[in-house]
Amino acid sequence: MAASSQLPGADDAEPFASSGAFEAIAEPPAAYAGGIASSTNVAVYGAGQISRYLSELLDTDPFLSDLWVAGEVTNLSRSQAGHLFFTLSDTSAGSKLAGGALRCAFFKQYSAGVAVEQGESVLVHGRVSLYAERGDLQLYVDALQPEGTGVLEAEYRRLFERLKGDGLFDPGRKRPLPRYPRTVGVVTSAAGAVWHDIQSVMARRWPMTGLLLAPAAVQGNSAAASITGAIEELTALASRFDDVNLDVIIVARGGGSADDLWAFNDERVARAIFASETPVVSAVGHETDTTLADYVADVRAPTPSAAAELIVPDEREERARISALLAANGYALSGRAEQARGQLADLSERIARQSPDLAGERVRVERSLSQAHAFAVQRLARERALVVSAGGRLEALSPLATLARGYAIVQDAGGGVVERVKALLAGQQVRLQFQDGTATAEITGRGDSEGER
Amino acid sequence: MTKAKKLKQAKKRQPDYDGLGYEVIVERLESAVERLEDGGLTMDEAIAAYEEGVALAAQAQRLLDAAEQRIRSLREAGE
Repeated sequence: MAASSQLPGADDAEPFASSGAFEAIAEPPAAYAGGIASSTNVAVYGAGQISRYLSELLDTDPFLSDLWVAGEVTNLSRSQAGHLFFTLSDTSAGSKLAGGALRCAFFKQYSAGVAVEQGESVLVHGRVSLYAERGDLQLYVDALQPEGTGVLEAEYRRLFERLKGDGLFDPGRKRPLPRYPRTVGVVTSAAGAVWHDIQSVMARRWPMTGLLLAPAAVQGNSAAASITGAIEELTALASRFDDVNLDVIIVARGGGSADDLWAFNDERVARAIFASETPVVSAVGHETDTTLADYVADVRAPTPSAAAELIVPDEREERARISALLAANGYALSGRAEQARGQLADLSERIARQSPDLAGERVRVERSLSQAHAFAVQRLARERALVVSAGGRLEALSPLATLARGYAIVQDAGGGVVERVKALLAGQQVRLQFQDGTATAEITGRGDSEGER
Repeated sequence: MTKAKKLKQAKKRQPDYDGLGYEVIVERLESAVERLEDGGLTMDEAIAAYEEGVALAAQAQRLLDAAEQRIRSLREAGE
């Protein structure tokens, strides 16, 4: 970042010695050594070797690679390809800088849509380099503002366009903030009111979130580097240690003048915010101050306190929410129980309808039983009667009954009953069976009575 | 079964939410209530969801009660 008043001072005075990466070249240009016609003591170089060497020297000089230069546009021309070429001259009479001039190339990709007029006083941003093929030293312009613009505003506009072109402000890139951040990283001054305000808002609303301060200088020449470093330190820490649980980063600074807030317009800060894997909330100055950091951040808060307010929930609201959830949980269960009870009632009704009529069944069984009983009794009586009558008939048929009536049975000697007279012989011994005993008799004669039968 | 094993089982039944962040607890609570409200759970599942909800709500409240601001600084942390 070069302010307009900054010129090569003590630090930058010796470009040959200062460009660290090319120190080896600066002493004896080894890459170009040998030349085209060297003698033992004197080296001779080709023109191209020297212009390429110069070009490298210029390109690696940090001072010359990021310059704002004021001057008047002269010798303005436009090439067929659409690039603008002009000379920037100091013409203001009496200026202590008067007298110099720089060739400028303003290529189409930067100059498109920019109005430049011959004789106009402008502020240009660019880098000085050598067009090696022609040995022309040029200022390669990438932004041009009318001179009435303050240099800060011009730089702001230039960076704005550049970062916008690189997609840093892309709305599609904005990431949502977690509902309950576990740890919030805070990039701000450790000493200021901002850090204190953020702590107290967080403690009041949501003490569950841890705070991790990455102290940074928030104004002065080292601020941009310090803020960038703090953001990078936080994200590096988070990616290295899982238990850091860094969910949000706040980049914050209290109110101040445009100069005070300038670090938040620095390209390095913007790019560090863009590169952060953790969502970033910016809170710089007051609501009316919008820095480039605000455009890049995932969420812009109007003030540091507002940033703390918006990234954590309110504990009282959260407790009310838990209570509501608990109540809903209870309602839902009693609803489910109610439903179960209804189901059960319905089922028991249905099962009652489906069950057999036990009482009726019992009556029916009893009736059958008594019928069976009656039947059995009847049957028994009948049987008994049958038996009795059979007994009577048997009695009637019994030989003993015949004997009782005064008859006798004749038996032969073997005991066989003599039924017919033919079986008897005269003189045969027979036995006579009476009801009260037996007698022996001898057959004395017989008379057949065939006809009688 | 030994006494130790019994103790272990008893502990198992008591859900262990230690180490879960507030966000996870609240998400689970919401999901338990939603499942319960949606219906379609068996009675056993409904009771389990309810009990889970009660335990989660209690844990959420415990976390809120115990919350105490932790503040660290990168310079002190020495990272």
